[in-house]
Amino acid sequence: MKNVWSKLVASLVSQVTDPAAFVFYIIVVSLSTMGLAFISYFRIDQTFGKGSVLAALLLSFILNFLLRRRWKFIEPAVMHGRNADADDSQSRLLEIWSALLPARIASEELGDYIEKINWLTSQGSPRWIIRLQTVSAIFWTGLNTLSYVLKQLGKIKSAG
Amino acid sequence: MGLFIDTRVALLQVLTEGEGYGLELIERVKDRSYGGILLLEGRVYPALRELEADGLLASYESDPIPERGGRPRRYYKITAEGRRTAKQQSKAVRGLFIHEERVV
Repeated sequence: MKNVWSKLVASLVSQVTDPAAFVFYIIVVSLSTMGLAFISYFRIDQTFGKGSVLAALLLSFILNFLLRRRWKFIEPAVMHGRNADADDSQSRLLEIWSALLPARIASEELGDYIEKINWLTSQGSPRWIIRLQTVSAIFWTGLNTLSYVLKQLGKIKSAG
Repeated sequence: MGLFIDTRVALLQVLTEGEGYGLELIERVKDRSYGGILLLEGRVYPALRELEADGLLASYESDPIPERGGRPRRYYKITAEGRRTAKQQSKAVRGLFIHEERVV
């Protein structure tokens, strides 16, 4: 029982210290918050209060924990002491992230980041450098996607 | 501390040596500036797309590469217009430094 609690605490801590887990957590938070907001607004009292946000955060913590137990590739190393393939999970996280990006950015920019991460891994670089690269990849491709989308919207608006 | 230079100017200059892709171009700028100019990865790709949109560069995709998760590399090469612009920029920057040397 003590072991279960220590694993649960380690998992909760890793949700903010492990970049892969953190990004996944943000995705789960966003989805569960949107879901609860939708239910709250349309089914209950047509408002979106603090209760919904707190419930969403709690739900997302639980969902995150359960989903990461289910999908091993996003389960943090601390859960069962694995380290060897932790860096490989960074590439896989970027593969998931690429689904949210425009084709050109996913292919060109993210491809370059994945190539660099694989090269760093093969050179035996420290894990924190590889994780930093992953965070950098997510930040820059996200920002460039936003800029790309805004430019496209601007083009549509000026054409209309 | 890295030196400050417009990303597009740096990219255009190194592309006069021959075609290249994002990661390689960042390294080329670093080597050619003796480690003084370090381009931010996130700023390079929008700059390349802008240069291409301005007609100064052209690009094409390679075959899929396993190390990139089966994605192709996008190679950029300079156009005739780009080469003319790079020459003008080079002349302007050299003029700036020659003036600086005279003052010192």
